[in-house]
Amino acid sequence: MSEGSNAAAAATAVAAFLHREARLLDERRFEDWQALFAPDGVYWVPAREGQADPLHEVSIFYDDRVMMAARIRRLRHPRIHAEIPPSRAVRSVSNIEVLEPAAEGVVEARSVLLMTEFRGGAQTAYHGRVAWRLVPAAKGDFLIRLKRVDLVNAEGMHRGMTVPF
Amino acid sequence: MTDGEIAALVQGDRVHSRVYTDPAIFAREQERIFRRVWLYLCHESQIAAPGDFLRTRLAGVPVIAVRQADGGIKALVNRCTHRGAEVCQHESGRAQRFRCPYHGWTFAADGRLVGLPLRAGYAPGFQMADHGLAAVPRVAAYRGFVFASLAPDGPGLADYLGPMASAIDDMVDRAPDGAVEAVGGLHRHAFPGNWKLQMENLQDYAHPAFAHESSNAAARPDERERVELDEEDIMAANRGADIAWIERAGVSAFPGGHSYIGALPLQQPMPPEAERAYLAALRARHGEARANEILAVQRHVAIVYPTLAFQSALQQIKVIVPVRVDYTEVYVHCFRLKGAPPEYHRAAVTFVNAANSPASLILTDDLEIYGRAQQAMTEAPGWLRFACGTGRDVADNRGGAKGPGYSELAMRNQFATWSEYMTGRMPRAA
Ligand code: FES
Ligand SMILES: [Fe+2]
Repeated sequence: MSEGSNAAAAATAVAAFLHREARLLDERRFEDWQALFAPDGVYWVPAREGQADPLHEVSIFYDDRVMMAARIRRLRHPRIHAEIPPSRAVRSVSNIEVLEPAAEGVVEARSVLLMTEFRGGAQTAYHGRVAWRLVPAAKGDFLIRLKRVDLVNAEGMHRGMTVPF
Repeated sequence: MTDGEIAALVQGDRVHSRVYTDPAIFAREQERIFRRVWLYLCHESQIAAPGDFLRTRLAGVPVIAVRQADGGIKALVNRCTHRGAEVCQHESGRAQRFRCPYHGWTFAADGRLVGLPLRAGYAPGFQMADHGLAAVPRVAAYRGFVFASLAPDGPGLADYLGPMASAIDDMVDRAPDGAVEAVGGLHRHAFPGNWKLQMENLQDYAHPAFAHESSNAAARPDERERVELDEEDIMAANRGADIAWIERAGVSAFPGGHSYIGALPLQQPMPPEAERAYLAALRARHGEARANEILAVQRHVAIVYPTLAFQSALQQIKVIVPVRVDYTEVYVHCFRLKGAPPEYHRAAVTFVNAANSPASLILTDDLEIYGRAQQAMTEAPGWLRFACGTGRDVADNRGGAKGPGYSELAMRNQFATWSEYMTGRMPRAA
């Protein structure tokens, strides 16, 4: 295959992966969603634009897989009163760009996320740019090493967030 | 509304829900509480150099906190003396002058009007000196924490803080260099409820077992190999905090509406080298006995009435901003202990995220409750009870009262103070 069609195939595979990731969250298949992360995978939502450091400055989410698992156990608890009735959300993924593959086949990609959530009788829209670091997995699939969501209103006044973006 | 009508809404441990829902009461709180007390303005480290400024609000009044050439701090009202435009639109920065975007009136860092376009259009008697930005009458600091009062007179900051100066000491003393700085970032959240819901919750050990049940149950901190205190530790601590333990933790309440609750059974896990370095630095500054005394202070949350809360041992403060009767904003600042190893700062950041990020498993529980309480009380007004722990108070060694940790003593104390302010009596001296 030519280089061009290689790139096109990679872009298609990444797009399919990102769409599936969003759908698993929409369907509240949180355990399946978590399984998309590499063992060292991180889900990060910075608290301000351009934040470079998640360790010395606060973040909205900065979850490793252990923390994700705790979040998910809580979402499954029968008396999670912040989720009665459960949050319902639709995530739309667009503007997907696959950047040059980095070392060892690591794929860097960008996308735009629009999530509309209905919870507690109120509808909230979240909009942000997502940066992905994906590592190759079996059968042309990927695992997430980093999903970074930069909300357009990162520094805004937030209501409680019970589910990931 | 008469003072008598206000007073009738707070009857010992019985409070009428109207205090949370009536816009007229909120307007009166602005005037009689928030415009009379000392409110948190900022931390000195945020505006360290002359001309450094940040924008904030005090009791609904937009202000610019500005570091002056002489090292002092002024709080200028951010409203143009010409025709009312907001003068400074930047969140923070450094400036020698503030120029109004509307017609270019220009003010010095101390608020003086120094630039007046179309000067020729004004009569000779027009006095620029009379048109400086209004300054908030009182600004004072205690160990780096800066407060302001919109009231020209009243108790000084030291008298106002009274025994709660110890909440600031509790944070600053832990810094080996004797100072903290606001470099850990900021969380912002809001809820559709009255500010008092938040202030009560900060001193409420009766709620975690229920309100945080789902989060507590999710915690399995032992599954993790890590060195920082995180969400799971807090939740597990909540779960492990049985009634005997909560009782012992205690709650102490003071004149002026202030109070604190004892600490959760949390151990800050630290890499041994970092801990050794920290202890050595702290002892080098204070000597071993004093260092041990500093570290022995065990408080979970201390509140400076009406709208400020300290989690000093974990280097965070919460600034509550009542915006409307049914809408409250909350700003959570993370501090760094100067002179402590970087692990200590990372632990503080992790903890602030765990407890106070808008996505915190714990905070989301509380925010949900506030909104639902507000709605229910608006739709079904009536009396509320704060009766738990009545008759159990003993004297606190700092001049207040102390009750078992699950007692609603701090809330009764908040409402007693509220009633004093709202009916025009200043609270008893702290
Ligand atoms: S309103 Fe500020 S210069 Fe006119
Ligand atoms: Fe809580």
